[in-house]
Amino acid sequence: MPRNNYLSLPGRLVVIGIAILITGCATTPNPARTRSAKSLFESTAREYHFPSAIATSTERERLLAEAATGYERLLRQYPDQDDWCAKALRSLGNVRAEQGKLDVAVKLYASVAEKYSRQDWEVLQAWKTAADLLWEAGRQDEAKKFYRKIIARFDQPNAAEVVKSVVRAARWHLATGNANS
Amino acid sequence: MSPGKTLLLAAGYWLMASAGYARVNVVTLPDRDTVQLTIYNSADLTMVKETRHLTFRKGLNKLEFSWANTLIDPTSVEFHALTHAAQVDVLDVRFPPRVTNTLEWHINSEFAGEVVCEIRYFTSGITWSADYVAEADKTEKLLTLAGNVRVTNNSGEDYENTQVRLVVGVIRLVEEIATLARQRGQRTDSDKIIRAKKRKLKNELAFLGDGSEAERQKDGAAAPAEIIKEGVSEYFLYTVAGRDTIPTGWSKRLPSFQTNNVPVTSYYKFEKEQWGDAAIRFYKFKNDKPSNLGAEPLPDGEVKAFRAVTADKLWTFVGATNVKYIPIGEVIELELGEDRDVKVQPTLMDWQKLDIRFDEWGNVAGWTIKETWQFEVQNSKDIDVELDIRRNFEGDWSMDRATKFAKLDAHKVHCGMLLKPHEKQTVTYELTTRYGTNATK
Repeated sequence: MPRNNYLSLPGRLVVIGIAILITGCATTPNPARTRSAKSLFESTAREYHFPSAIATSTERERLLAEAATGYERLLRQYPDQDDWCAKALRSLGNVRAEQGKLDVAVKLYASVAEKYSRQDWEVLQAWKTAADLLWEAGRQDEAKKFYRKIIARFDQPNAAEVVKSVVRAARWHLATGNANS
Repeated sequence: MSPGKTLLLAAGYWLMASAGYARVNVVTLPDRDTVQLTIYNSADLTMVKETRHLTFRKGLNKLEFSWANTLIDPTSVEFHALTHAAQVDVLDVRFPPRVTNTLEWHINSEFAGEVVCEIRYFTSGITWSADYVAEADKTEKLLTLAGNVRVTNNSGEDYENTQVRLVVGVIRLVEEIATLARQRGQRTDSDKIIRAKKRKLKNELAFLGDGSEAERQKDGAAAPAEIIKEGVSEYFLYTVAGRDTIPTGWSKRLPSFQTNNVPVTSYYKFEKEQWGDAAIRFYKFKNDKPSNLGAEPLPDGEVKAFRAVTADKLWTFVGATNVKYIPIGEVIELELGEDRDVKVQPTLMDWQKLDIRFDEWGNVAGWTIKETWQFEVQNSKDIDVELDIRRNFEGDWSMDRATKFAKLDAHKVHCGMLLKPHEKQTVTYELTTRYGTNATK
């Protein structure tokens, strides 16, 4: 006797209901959660990340650690807020870079595009920062991978001026063996 | 802590980080020279053009720009050298990891010395509204019309020594951007399209008015406030003369123009169906050259009207109303509300039911009503008053031929009157209305 692969009517209704729920959750923006994520990002940047730029020694380390905690909390609590998560992930990369953890930072920068590929501006900044940091660290081959990615994705005739400048610089880096700074 | 203070605090940290320079940091001290805001209300979009005199050294120069805690669109930021442009070249744009939301231009200069640079970008959070003050002379024959623009800055950024330009009318591109912004989340490509359209808009509009800009800068803040019109397709671009500082969280009212001796007609309308038992005062004038206006369309906004009541110009408030966008050549009619010095008292003097007709069963099938109305009109003012009384009728109606009322359309009649100071007049009409089988139309 052939096996019945089809769901019963109540089963199908449950599946349809779940599908509607998932689709609804994915596409309906939640302004309250967006506001909360924005607030957490801004307070983290304002209270810890910005001051770390002018602090020194242990105070700087403390502020960077607090900033990292804030950005990690945002990533944990608001995974549905792509825009703010992408910013937080890139900023976390910035914190790790400032802490001297270049490899961790580069991984975080790379994951911006993997996790939030629609966030063009954040992806561009993350790739560019990763590439420049690697270049300055003398790791040109690794840097060039990011420059190539930048050109492949962002080299468009109608790109913004700032993007065109980044692409132009990426080409220059690929064409030369030395850092330009 | 208020949001504004929060933003300032954050900006303060960055100022310290950037060695005391206001948002732009170079190896030599930059003077923030001028700022120009071009505000498009409909899309919550403002184009900012900053000019700075920067001192470059020969070789590589670094220039930082932060948009942290502002509503600046960083993808729209552009740097241009206005002088020595051929010798100044942006080599790279970097995003330094030590702070968020900051870019760093790496600029190669073959010239050592001062270069005038322009930084352009879009921000949101800045809006404008127009308002007017109309001052009529004692006879209400001439008007002084003054226009003002209120700019509200909630962008997170202070704009010092700012020139304000306003877009009045509709820009198709801006409307498209506004529509796309509303659709965010419904279309996956909306952000990309918005960015592309913003770039197009910026390129189209960035250099508008630059010819007169230099001359206005020479005049500086002492220049008399006036609006300079620059007509571009279906919208108009106003430049409010003079400069002002508009900090974030502030609203500033800037004078935009003042025109004296605008011929005005003051008149009253009485129409029970529209305004009840009150006579309503109107000021009417035309946005054209003979009226000393007509240089540009007038943006929509609130008008407050005053009238001089003494020779030494003691003013009395007449009324306030909102006007819509007024194109050149259009008549502006300001509805200013009730004036108790002009009274209209309608009285029903006589009422008769006539010509009653019955059907075959003895029921009333047709009849005619004849009414006599008297309007007692009183002008308690010291000046002549023009009054227009309007009445509305339905059905098969007619008026006696001797009346001063004239037909405006199938359902409306009016009677125009001129009343001398403190004059009383009476006007009557006899109305016949036919009902049922008596009605012939």
